[in-house]
Amino acid sequence: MSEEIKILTVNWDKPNSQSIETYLAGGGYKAAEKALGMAPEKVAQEVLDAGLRGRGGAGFPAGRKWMFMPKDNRPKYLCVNADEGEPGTFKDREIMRRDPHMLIEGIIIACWAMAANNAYIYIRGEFESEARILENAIEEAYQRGFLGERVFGKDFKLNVWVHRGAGAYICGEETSLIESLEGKRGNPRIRPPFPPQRGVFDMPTTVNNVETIASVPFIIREGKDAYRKFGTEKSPGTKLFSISGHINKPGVYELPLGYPLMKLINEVAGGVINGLKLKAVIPGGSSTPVLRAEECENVNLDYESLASAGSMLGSGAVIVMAEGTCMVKALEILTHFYAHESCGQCTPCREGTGWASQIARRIHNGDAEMKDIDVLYSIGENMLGRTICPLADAAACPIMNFTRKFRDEFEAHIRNKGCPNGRPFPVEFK
Amino acid sequence: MSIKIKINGREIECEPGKTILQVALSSGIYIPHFCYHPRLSIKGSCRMCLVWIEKRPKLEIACNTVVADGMVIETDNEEVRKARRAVLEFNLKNHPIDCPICDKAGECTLQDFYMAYDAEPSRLSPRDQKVKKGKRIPMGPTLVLDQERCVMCHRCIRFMREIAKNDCITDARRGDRTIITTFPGEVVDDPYSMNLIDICPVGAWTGRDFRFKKRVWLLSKCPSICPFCARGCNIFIEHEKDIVYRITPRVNEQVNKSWLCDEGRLAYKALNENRLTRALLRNGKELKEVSMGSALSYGAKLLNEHQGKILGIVSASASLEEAELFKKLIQSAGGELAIHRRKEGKDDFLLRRADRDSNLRGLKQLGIDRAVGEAIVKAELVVVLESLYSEPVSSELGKKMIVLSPRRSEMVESALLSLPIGAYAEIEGTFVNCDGISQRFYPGLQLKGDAKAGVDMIRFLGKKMGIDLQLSMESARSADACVAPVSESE
Repeated sequence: MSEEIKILTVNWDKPNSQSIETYLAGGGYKAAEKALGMAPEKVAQEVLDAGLRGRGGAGFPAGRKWMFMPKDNRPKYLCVNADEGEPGTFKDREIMRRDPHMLIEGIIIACWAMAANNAYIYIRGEFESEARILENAIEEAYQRGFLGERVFGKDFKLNVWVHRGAGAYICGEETSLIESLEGKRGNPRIRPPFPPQRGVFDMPTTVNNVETIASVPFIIREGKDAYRKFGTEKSPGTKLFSISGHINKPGVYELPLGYPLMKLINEVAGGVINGLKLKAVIPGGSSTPVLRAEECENVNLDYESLASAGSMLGSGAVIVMAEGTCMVKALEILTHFYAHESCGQCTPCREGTGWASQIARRIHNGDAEMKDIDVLYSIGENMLGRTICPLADAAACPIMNFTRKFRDEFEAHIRNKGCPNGRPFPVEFK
Repeated sequence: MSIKIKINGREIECEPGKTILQVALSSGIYIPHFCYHPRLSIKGSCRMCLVWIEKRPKLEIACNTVVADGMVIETDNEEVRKARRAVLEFNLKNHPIDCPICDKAGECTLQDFYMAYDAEPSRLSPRDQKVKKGKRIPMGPTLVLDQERCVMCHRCIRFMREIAKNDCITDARRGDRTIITTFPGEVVDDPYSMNLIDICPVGAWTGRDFRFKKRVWLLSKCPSICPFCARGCNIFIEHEKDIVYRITPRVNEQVNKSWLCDEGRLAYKALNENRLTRALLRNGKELKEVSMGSALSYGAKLLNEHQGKILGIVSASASLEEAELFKKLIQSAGGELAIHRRKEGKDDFLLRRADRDSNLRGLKQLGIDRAVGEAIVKAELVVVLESLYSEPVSSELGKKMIVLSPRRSEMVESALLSLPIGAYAEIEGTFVNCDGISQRFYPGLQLKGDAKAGVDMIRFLGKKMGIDLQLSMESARSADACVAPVSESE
């Protein structure tokens, strides 16, 4: 890495980075103490002014979200969304594994800003060791008086719980996360009412991504201007990018927003594997539209640049596909994922994901006709924007983009009555 | 304060806080929907009621979008039609399309909507597989579930949770494998379970009793009042050629809303079975059919002979009109009156009342409120006016007895003379329910055999005795109350 920026990753390489001692030695919990000396509204304002946008995928300004919380005396809740399930995304896991106290400090600040006395970390069921690390870290924070009846000795009560999910992707959607947290089946709720009006246990609730919350301590400690030094005007700050696929150095990298995509692929992550040519990139997790290699040329990793390229920043999960990748197989895998994970309440998503997955499988197996491609595309079209939660949109994106941008490959499969490539991927991962 | 919105170019004034769907339906603009039900919470998942709203980036569901002043809505433009076709196509993707053997066919929302809004040939490839789910699963004493026909509207889940307060069913699994099922180890054993058959928009929930009995388009529906308890639920009696096949609820805001209890529904069987169709006269141990004329003459003779030593017993489920004329008949023969009630049940939180007679309040208005008690000992002649669900006054009376009954009841078996009268479904009359609401009902079925409406039978008896019996029930007649219109489409 040429330019080393460390906001979120500052402690990652330190020995014993999970422990509170390491975190305190690096100036940890100073920001939380500082925040508790500020008026709650000022804390939210500072985060808003710093331009911190939701890192879970939607990119909604975090400070604004906090300000939506009503100022009444109902109990309020913060839910930290650690149900990191988007295919290709593995950044939150690293935060929780390597620096859990940064998340906890962020929680203290966010709860102070929203007058919330309870916070839940909803962590996906598969993250068992991360859940244990978090529980350990929370215990340490209680012992130091950073959590509990009197946070930092002030008249502010805060309890934090770790709640483990049961393995459903849909529970990463904020309202189904809330349902699941209440012990119910994780079906998304219709909005309105929105979570700040009626969330967990029908009380005002904010759901924030792990990375969003973990970015907060820096903003409070160093100020909004220090944060705005990184990134672009409209997308300030840094972001974790988890890059995977046919790449030499897959992993999580902290980069300023606006960083050139090709530079990430070729320099930071060491280039496409085996010296192969780049074929396509999914820039923000499986639900963001795929970009062909030539479309990636001048794209920067920020909300605006990716939007104008016809894709999205999403969760910052860059999936790299090298020349030789069978895009029909790739779509088959993606559609199968969404068909498996659709919660099954809204008609278009329930039936559309399963149908699309069937057709994609048939095309790859050579058991299809030309008109199936159009049916497949129209299934995506008919799902897009028609459901309670964005899972249908997430499923529709790859369906529509793959069939549009790589139509020739789909046709070749049908003409050839099977995959013409012989093997679907140029590299086999063990 | 009201606001103005525009639906399909028509300006509509409405209350703020209502949803687009509510306003549209009450203004006569139909928006198709599966999951919305006016008495259940909003689910918003069927996506059938998508409408176009000006300045919104995408279509919105009408059932959960609250109207705002100046809102411009289109419910039938090309974009909306396309979205509806898509939802219907999706719903049919894994639907078995077994209408020819489905009990719901003919009153199935999915079928109707397909005809009205889609009617496109299927794009499903013969190579596509339909997801297999459970068929004809017994779901408790009254219901059978077909999971493949389900469109996952969740009405049944919400009904059991919110109305019947018996949270026993849920959705399980995910994606297109999602099914409706009971919680492990539970069955749908609930006094209101059969409402699931009505609120299910498709043929997923069917009733054990009605299954494969009749195609619904052959049934005639006549409005009536359920006489099974004091609630007086508004019902439809559904019959073909006077044979009743089922009873379904009729919406009435003040009485039963949209619901009906299972007991009331299944009580229809008494209309078909064991009816009294001829006048019967006792000859020793045998009951002999006699002509109506001689039966009436003999009845009048008995009444005249026992002047002053008569006890008239009225079923508390008799209509106001029958009871009033009966009272006049007995009083003109110098007799006394008593009321006979069915055994009490239990009140519940929804519809069912402990008082299982349909007109106790009405009879009290007429001043008939004394129980049978000791009076029967003194009487020489007992005249009983029964109703369809009457229980025997007493098994061993050992008295001369005239029984007017719609049914060949135990009382008929021990009577000296029995006269056949119409049941509630065959006559005109009034019941006053437990809340004092007078509800009028009209004949829907033909009288059986020689049977006459109770009022006519009593009048004829009077005539034979030389008395002209007249109703003075102007008040009851004008109280045609409570046949409220179906307020909201379900």
